[in-house]
Amino acid sequence: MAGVVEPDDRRRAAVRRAHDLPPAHAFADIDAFLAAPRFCRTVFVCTPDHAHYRICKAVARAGYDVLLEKPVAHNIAETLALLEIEHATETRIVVAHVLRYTPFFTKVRELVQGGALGRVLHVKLTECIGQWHFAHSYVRGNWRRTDTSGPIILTKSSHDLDILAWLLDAEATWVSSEGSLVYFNEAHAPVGATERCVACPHRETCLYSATRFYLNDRHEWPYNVIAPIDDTPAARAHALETGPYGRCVYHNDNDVCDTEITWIRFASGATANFSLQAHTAENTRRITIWCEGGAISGDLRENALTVTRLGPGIDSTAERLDLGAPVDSHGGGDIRMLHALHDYFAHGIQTDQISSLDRSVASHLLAFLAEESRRSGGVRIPMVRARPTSS
Amino acid sequence: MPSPQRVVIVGAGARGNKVFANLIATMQTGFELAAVVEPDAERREAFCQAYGIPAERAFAHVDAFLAAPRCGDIAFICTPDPVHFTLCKAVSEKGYDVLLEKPIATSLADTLALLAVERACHNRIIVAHVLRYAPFFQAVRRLARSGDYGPILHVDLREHVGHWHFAHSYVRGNWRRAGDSAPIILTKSSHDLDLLAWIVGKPPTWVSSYGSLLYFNTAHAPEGATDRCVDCPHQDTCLYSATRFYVNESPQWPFHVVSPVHDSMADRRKSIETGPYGRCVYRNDNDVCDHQVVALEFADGVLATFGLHAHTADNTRKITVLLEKAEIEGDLRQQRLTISHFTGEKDVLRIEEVPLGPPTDSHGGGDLQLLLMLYEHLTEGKHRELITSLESSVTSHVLAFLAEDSRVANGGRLRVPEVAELIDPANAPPAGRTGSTP
Repeated sequence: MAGVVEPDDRRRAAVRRAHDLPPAHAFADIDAFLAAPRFCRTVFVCTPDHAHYRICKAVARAGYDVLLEKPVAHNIAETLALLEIEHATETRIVVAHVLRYTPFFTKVRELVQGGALGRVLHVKLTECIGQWHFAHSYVRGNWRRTDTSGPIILTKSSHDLDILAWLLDAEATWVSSEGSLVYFNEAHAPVGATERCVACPHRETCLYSATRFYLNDRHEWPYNVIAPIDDTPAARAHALETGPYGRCVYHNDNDVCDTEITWIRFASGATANFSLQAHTAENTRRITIWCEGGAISGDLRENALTVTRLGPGIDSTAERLDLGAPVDSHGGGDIRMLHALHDYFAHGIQTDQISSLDRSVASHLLAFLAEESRRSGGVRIPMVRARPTSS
Repeated sequence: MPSPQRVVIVGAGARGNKVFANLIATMQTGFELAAVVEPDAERREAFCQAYGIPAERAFAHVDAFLAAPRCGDIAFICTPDPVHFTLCKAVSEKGYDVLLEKPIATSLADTLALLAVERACHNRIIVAHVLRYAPFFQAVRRLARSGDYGPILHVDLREHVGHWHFAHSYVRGNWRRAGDSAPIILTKSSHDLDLLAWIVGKPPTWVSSYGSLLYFNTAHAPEGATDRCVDCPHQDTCLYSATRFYVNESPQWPFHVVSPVHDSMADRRKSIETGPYGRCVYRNDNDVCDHQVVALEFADGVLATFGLHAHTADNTRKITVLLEKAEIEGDLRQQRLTISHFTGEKDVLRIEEVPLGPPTDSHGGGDLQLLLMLYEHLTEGKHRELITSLESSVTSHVLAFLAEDSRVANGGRLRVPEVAELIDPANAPPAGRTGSTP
């Protein structure tokens, strides 16, 4: 940790204290950082989504290597523009597609690419967001509106589209998508529900009551998000009275889909069926990859895979692979990404996982095209070329 | 108990003989076997011998049966798909009730025409969508529609055909060519579209589909593979070797299908030397999809998805129903059904197992349940809401034909008209009512 750029004074001071940073390495905005003498090699861009492109562009042009949180940008033109910058400079831009680094998906790719089950025919990937997580992030939180953040297929599922393209190591030929906001809307509000939970007659019984959900003494995500600096009971209560996390999930300004399905066809002939679902019990991802000779299936959170081999008769064999203890929703990918990233930036070691921009851009293109398809009634959209054609 | 219902089996094959006649002969269903119509003399005689049917009630052709004095209450139509419609129409016009194997017909026009036949003949036509009767799907629907968990928000149904089952029925068997029977989304998956519509219980608004024959084609043939397994150099190693698969002593389906009358090892060997079940799965004339997905929306924006997959290990169906307050998840073959109740807290779930009994066949015990409920329906008018009447089954076929149209047209939504509108376009709704728009 060398420095921090953060506009909020209290947050910036807290990071500086926690990591013992000199005052000269703490900045209130990115321009001040760029104007200051250089003191580090890498910048992690972890801002709200709308600033990703602008900041990444600025720091990459200044010659820093970048770890860029998803989404990399908000449209195809910006995404390709970042790719141009990466190609035109010595800068390395890596996208924080942390799922690639999980033991779970690492193993899946190893099995797929190892070819023991033959060619991939079809993949079904389901993102079970979990109803409380969806309410937190996509009804009340930062990613609830397409105009202020982006469509959920980009802000949430670029992970999944990335995993699909990476696992198959194949170019997509077309994508189509269907989805809508089925549930978190006015039509499902209980009678008499108020705009904020604190005054609502249903706050003791509603599944999405913010007072029940947030007013506790747990300090992990997502509870700690609502009063991020002084996480006291009083601060949380105040946040529910005034902030976004105290709003009714039915009377809100959210518009991103809570149900969406996306179909992709790859040049290999394989097809993928991705489903994003808000109303699930678990917060996990489930995958099944059907191959010529069998299937690989598993649950990220359980951290376990089953490899099925088709037999010549009606019986098949199944082998379970336990990949370790159950994990968080990023499947242990965050820490492994940092290790791989260090090896890449410091020693130039490019593992199979490294989500460099040129190896990540397909997911974003797929997301933009999926959204275009969804808005056009599910028509198939041909994949666009990932690489810029002009110099 | 009311008097027995006398059954005429039309088509003494795998379904007519080995499933329905066998159940009637061995279980207390209320039905009794009265007559058989079967063109193949060997099959017909074997059937009469097995079930004690006298010669005067064994017919080689349906016309002979129709010309004979009435000899039953209900006809079970278990013939190949292309003649379902004409036979159902003919026996209806003679006043028989009908249990009609799916598909109802191989075209939408014929499917709709049977509705008019039923109305004119005042008989009862019941479609053998047997999965609705399986205790598993009965439980899924009862729970999903109980209101205890709020409205249904999403349903995902996966049909795992099983690789050997697919090779048997849809690469080598009767349902391998859309032109000879119908597209697989109708011949196989009308079951599933029927279940989706029946579980959700709202009118469908649009349907969209894609799929193809990805694997069982010449591109995947091993080098040197021959047209028939018996002289193929790969017959001892190929996953789909007919010699390895069929030449055994198992009297079960699907093995008994290859030589249905005289079923010795020598008969089986001879069948795969000459018959359809001995052909190479990669060098055949099959054309139905080995994978297909369907998306359909119901009123109130409820999105449902269906996936048909050939390359699965298991031969089963799996379902996920997402509701306002719970997630229901299950596997038909394993007879496993769970409800995860949402608690409003992170990482706290109450998971309930729904007891269903031991694992079962691929129809989930639905064949027997169908007979039991059908008998009570025919004799006492029970189960009106659950029975697979023609009227309540037509929607699944409308969905299947539209899904196929969407697939062939390279995807995209097709509006689902109501049945009344299909019969008479004057019943079309005002323009603009095409379901949710994003």
